Amino acid sequence: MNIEKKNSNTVRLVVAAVVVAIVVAFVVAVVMGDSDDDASTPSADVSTSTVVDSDDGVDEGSTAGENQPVVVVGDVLEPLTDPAGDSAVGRSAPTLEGARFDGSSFVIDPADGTDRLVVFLAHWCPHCNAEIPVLLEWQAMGMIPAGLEIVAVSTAVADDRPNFPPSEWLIEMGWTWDAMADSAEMTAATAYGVTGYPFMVITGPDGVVKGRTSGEKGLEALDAWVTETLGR
Amino acid sequence: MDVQSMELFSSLLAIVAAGGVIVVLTVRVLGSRFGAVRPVAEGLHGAALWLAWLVAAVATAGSLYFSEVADYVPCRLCWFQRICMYPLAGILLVAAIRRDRNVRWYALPLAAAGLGVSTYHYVIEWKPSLGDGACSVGPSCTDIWFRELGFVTLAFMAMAGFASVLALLFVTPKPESVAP
Repeated sequence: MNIEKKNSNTVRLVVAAVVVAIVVAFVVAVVMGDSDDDASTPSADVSTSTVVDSDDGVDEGSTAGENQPVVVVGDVLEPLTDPAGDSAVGRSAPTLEGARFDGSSFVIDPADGTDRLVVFLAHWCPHCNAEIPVLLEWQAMGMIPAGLEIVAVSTAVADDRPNFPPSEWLIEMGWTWDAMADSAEMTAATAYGVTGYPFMVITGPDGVVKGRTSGEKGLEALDAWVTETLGR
Repeated sequence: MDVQSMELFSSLLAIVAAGGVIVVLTVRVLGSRFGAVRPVAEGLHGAALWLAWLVAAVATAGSLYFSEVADYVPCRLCWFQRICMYPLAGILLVAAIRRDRNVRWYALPLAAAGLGVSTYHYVIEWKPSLGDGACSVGPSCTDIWFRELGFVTLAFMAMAGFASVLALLFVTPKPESVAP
């Protein structure tokens, strides 16, 4: 009986210790939570741009913003589900009529006679953060194929995630090429069948999709993929 | 309590759980040599099932809070961890009421699988390159909703929860194995 009582007491002691730990954690969280109220991240207005009818490509009056309206001209591409058998290869890529972060008009016309690499980036994505330096190194080493134009589309913008705003993020990362701001609804990304970030699409001078890929690539893999894809 | 306070509170609980694993392991290692730890061993042994249930229940409630109240969208790995943790809350409650220590064999696959997935999730949070190489269009498993105290994330909390359940069910020494 005494042993059972002793065991019961020790069990109660253990349970009491756990309860005390929980209460202390709660008090600490409440106290520190109150004191951190001023330091909380303010929710930023992600999109400050006014809705602009971009059917006529007019950019006057457009305001700056991390999201910009995008109009898709042409058929959207299916999401990339099978890299080995991409159904979008050989199809015409849609034209994206949008704007840069500063609100100036920016049109990505795949059929303008230029080989183009469109890079879809999300500011918060660690793989995008790793890929941009690879692209810059690719450029610095003079490995970009002649005539290949590179553009970025900033998409999946979220003001509560790292590296917001993307407009400043791209500058800080040293992005040297042009960049379009996707809409809050990810219109451009959806039109090109984006299934992950970073996402790259190569189109030929006639606007036909030559290849798409999702995910981070090292320098050699990037160069190999671009070279092989352009050669198709 | 606002979301930020809840993040800190749950992070502290995770640290307590992780500390509990260390305590259990220490008692197990020292128990055979030092009789002074016998009361702690007895207490742990007697309360192990209820403590294991408490960990699973709090982890379940916490994950639901962060998804349903704080609107943190679970990624694929989060869902696998939920699949492992949520049933534990139920079966450990029944086991605690029935004082059935054999529940550990039923809980083992769930807790072990959950520990493996949460550990992998925690690793790729720090080293995204070890993941699948891309952020998903939906919620990304390399995306970190918060990192309290420099290291506590949702994946860490799950890891601590699964580890403490396993420790309580398997490592807690029987009093008779502890030195008198």
